[in-house]
Amino acid sequence: MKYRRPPAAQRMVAAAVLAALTGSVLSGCATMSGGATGDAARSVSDAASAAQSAALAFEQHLGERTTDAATGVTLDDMLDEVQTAATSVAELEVSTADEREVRQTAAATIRECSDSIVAAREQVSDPGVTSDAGALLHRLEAAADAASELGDELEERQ
Amino acid sequence: MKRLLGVALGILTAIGGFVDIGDLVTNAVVGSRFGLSLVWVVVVGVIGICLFAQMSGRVAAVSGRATFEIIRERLGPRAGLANLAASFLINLLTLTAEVGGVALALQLASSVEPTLWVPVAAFAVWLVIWRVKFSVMENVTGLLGLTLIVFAVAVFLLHPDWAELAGQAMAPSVPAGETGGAYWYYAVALFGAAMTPYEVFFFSSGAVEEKWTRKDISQSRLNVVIGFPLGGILSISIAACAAIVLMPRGIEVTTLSQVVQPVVEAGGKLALAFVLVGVVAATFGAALETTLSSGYTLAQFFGWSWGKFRRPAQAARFHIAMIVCLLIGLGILATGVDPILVTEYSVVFSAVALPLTYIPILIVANDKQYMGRDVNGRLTNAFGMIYLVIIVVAAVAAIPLMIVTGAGA
Amino acid sequence: MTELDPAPEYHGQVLDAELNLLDRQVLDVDEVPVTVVDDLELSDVPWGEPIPPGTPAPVITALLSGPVLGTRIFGGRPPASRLHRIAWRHVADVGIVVRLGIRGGELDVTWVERWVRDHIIAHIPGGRHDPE
Repeated sequence: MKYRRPPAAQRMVAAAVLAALTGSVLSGCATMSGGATGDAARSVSDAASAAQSAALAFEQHLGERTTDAATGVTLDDMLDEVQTAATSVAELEVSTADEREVRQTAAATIRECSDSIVAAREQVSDPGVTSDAGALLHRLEAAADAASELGDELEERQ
Repeated sequence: MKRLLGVALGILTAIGGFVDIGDLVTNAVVGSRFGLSLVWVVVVGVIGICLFAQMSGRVAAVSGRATFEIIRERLGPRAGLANLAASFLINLLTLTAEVGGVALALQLASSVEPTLWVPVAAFAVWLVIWRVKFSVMENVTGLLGLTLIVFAVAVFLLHPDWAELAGQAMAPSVPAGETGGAYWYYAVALFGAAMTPYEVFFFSSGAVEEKWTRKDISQSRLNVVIGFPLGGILSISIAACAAIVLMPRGIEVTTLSQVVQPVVEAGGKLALAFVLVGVVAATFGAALETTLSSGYTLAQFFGWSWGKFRRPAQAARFHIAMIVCLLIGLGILATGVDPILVTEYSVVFSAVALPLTYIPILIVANDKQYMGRDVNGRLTNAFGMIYLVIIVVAAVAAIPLMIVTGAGA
Repeated sequence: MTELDPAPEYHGQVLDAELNLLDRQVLDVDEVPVTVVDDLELSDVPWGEPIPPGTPAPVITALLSGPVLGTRIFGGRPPASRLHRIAWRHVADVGIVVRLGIRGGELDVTWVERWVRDHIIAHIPGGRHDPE
């Protein structure tokens, strides 16, 4: 049996690589759909997800069910996520007045998310700063819900 | 009694060693976005890795030859080198992700920046590889990794709507707000996470390290066939936790801190402590395995002396290769790249690279010169052919799906 | 193409150079991996001249390793001085691995291993001890 360098297997691998490459080239032209409104919708949804996560972490913190270290890291992570979303909204290229308005609303909603996460972060690192942690949690949840709603609305509008 | 203990230990370490950063992140991301609608992929992946690991372990036990010696011997120098390059680079990517994962887990425990933990983690990995015996290394990380069972416990503590979970798992559909492309992209990612090729390099080389012979085959089969599916249940629990706590809140997992949130919700600080120990052990164990795999693949391709059972001075190039790989991983992480992002790419590219290792193993497991009477049976070959098709389809689909969906965005 | 005479009868194992030798792992007498058979060296056959009948067939004189792997993949031929040879007389057995009857530690093919060991690994504490 002279069976070495199985040609079938080799050809199969070559075909797989070739198909993958062809696929990449063909689909390389596809971009994200929805134009400026679609991009704004995605950024707002990302910010909403991060704010919801921050709210959950802060709630766990107030219930003393988690450590300060874990809460702090989660809030920092979520702040990063929200800021990434804010940057991509700020960099949106808008052409119509309608899109300009979308960008403004999105930026304001995301801003409220990041402001409330910052406030929560301060509360965790120095509990003496704010008196009413419960109100802070409500603010965080409200910001997150507002972002979720706006995200859904923009998603439908595009 | 001693034999029974050995069997139990083998199975327990197989469970604890099953989950790595790829499984943790991918399962949590999928759970938070698709609920349990992709559980079937984990099941397919776990059966696949059982088949594949068992085959490569048997080849190593009978012939004493590990995976990359066989790849070189079967494919010749050209295709072998191309295979080495692809497998080695993807393994390096996985290694980077695992070391980054250790740093992220330690950050959650200590709130010290991950960039400061990365060099500590890499040094610890090297030290263990340099000085600790193979069996001790495997058993300690495997047993500590068992604390990840807290994910399964958390599912019960969260009192989910079981009917709804079962519905998601049994009648899979793409959830509202997600596209079919993203669904299939994550199906491939999950498959790659369950069947990462390094597990096979490591499993077969580990068989040589521990000097397995024919009579160890049944024990290793038991470890794989019981241990890996139980490890797969841990994977599914991670997805279930995310599906129960995060999905209803509209949270899509992008960080390791979010992966542990459901466990905290279920069990508070104690559960958090368990999950952090588990994540550190799982990622650290996988960092050891990927680092060793990078040495194994190079040494076996070029015929260098290798193995942890030898003194470092008796396997000099093997050890220097691993040191260089760790340094490259450190360099990649020092650029500040997000280890979670590295993880997401590493599991998809793992799926792309799977046929490269799977096909030569399948061929040699049928070669009488190597295997004598221990060649694959009919049932194994039937499964082997089915998985050959699945693996090739996943590999071919991976990159187009990645581009079409913008990496699952 | 002229008919070839039937191959002469041999006593002992018949090997296919490509199937049984190339790309096989080489172990020394203590089971330590030495190298992989990157190429083979055959006894000289005059190039471009007719071969008179009755000339003995070329025989394998050495297993080769080193830069020859690169030239085997990409073509070309390294100068003979750069080839790392293991003389055929040291080969003890050919199975799924090629076993040598000598120690690999002193062979030319393992000089990089020795260099890395003596100049780097041996200087790191613990490098000469068994793992614990």
